Amino acid sequence: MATIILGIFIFGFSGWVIYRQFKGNGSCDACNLDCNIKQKQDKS
Amino acid sequence: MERQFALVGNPNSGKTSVFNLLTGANQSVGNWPGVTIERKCGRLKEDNKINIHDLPGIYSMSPYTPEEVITQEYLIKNKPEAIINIVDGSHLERNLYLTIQLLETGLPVVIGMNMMDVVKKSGRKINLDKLNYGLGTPVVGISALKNTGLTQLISTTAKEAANFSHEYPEYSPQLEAALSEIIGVLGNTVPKEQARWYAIKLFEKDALNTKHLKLSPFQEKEITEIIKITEKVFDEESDAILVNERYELISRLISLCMIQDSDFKLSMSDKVDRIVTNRYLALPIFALVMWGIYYLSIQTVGTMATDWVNDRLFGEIVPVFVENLLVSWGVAGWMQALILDGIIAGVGAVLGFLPQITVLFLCLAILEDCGYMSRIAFVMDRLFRKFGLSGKSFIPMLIATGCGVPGVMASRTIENENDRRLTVMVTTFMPCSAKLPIIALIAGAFFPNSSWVAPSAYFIGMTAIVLSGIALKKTQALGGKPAPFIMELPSYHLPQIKNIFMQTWNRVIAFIKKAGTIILVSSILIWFMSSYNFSLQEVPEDSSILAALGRLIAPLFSALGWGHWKGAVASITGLVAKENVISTFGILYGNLESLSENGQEVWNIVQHDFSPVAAYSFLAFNLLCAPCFAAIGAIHREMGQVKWTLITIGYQCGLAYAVSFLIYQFGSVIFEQAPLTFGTLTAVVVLFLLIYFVVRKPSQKDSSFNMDTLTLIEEGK
Repeated sequence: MATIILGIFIFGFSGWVIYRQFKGNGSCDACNLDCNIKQKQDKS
Repeated sequence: MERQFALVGNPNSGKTSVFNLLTGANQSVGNWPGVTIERKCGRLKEDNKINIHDLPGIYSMSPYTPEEVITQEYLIKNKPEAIINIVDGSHLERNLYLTIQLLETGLPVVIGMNMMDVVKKSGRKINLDKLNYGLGTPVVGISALKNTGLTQLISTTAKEAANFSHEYPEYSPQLEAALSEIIGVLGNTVPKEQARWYAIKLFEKDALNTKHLKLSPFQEKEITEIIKITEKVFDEESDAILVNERYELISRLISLCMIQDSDFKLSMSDKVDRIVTNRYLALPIFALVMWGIYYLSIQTVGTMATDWVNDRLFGEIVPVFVENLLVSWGVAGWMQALILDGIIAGVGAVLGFLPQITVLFLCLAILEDCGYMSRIAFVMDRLFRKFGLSGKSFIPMLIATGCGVPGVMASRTIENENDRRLTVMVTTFMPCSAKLPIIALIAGAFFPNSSWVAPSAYFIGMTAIVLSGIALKKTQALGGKPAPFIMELPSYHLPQIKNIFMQTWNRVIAFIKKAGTIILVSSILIWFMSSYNFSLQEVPEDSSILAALGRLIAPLFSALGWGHWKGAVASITGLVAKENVISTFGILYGNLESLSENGQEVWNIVQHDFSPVAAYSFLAFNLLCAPCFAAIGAIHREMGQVKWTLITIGYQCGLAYAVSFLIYQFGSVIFEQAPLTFGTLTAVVVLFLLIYFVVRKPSQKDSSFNMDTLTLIEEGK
């Protein structure tokens, strides 16, 4: 049971990270500039 | 016929002193009708036919105070022949507000600039001719204290009254358009010479001064409409619009006519800049500063904390705790391996370098906040200009020391297409924060007692940029003259603790977030591919999917000294995120906590795969080769064409390969006493080729004109 729960959590999280990368927001995490893209991202 | 001159000015501007000097004993004192405010009038000593009316001291012509109301009424209703405006030169900005309102009355105005001696003592100068030009009205310097300039003041006033040409201070085009329209609507309702005054009063909604105007309902409606539209344009109330416009005009006038002695004196910032941006000292100072920062953060202060984080936190505390937890939960073996050998090994390896990176971020934040970093672009402009770029191209590179993505995007500020392309191509040679763990790993593991290795990584990037710039500028596709570069240097100041910590904190959080997202997912994938074969059976890592794929490409890197599959795979995973190089090592080499220590354990683990020279070659390759996918995406967006993106990636990988090749081939002969081989001879050829591309003549002629070419054209050559 614990394996299944951990699996859902880990792979679900990984899927969300990959999705954000493809959506283009992922690179903003690496950047510390407070640009309008990041502001839009923070608002959404 | 008697002439009437009005004396107007701010309180304490010296107006009364001037009045007393001009009129002497020929004064009469009374009260203005209806108020207890004193009214003074006197005949000019030199000419009895000139009456001087000393109006109450006011700061502006608003309708609020009795003094202001009296002054306005006298000027508009009595219409003196001229206004003598006494201005306190030591408080010019405040006094000029009234001056501008006096000019709006449509009456001749002459300014008596008083207290010029006080102005001089304060280290300032007022250029009266320039103020005259800016205002369109005569300005005479006087001193009521020393009784100078008054004769000229009166004669100028008499002349101005006789030859008045109705010049008004000009505001912004949108406001001038509104005032012109109101004047048009007023038509013959007001005297022509007072049309502008009433237009301004109506615009300001000054009911006191406009209630006597007999405007038709149509006129009132039109004027209201004009005001409404103008308020929308400016997004301000109409009275605020005029106040702002007047102060903007005053600001321009002050800039035009006021000179400070300190404009010619060196400030502390200027004195520091004389050394820091000195033609000969600037670059060595910059090199010393960067060496100091990298040495401090990666090889001394930061290393102390990193050792603890790697040895204790991710070496003992976290794995033991998590393992016990997973076992107590009855988690399956493969899931335990994924978490412990994949996620914790991979992410922990990257986070292990956080202390060093934090110290580096702190040092860079101090440099940015104190104002030194902005000087670097100025210093670099001198160097960059020698090979056809400008300091403007250095700014994206400065940004790229944080992350290559905004660094590449910052190249948009460069107008010249060729310069922009070239900047995009070389910007990611600068070591970004993601490459810092690689630098820290190599410097700490292979060169623990050398202070030059970590800073040298920064200088490899800089050298690659400079030499690439020289070589690429000589190509037909990217050639051309550098653009002019103007920048304002902010004054130096002590770094603000709050700013420094906020900046450092934001960068550290971004680093941790990246480790917890992209690196985590990459670690899972790398662990899987290094633990299973193509039949999805659990196997030793040497028989894994990753090993099989790695062995396909590893021979490519043999010439660079690290032709084993682990190094090749680590470099490839670096395309996702450069930190992945470390997390890959963390997973493939197992106990990575030892990789950052100074000691024999390092050799026990990695000496089979890396010699020191090969390790440095590996470092150089990963510093210079294609950046991560996010940065490649940014490059593609800025280049706009697949062709240029491929050229950029190809150039970066090619240069990285060439530099690593040279480092390994020459380094192994010089430092490891390796024999001369075919590789060494090839390295010599590659070196000569690189030197040729840097020193060769440009492939296109300089198409700009200079005195020599013009002379030749004139001579018919």
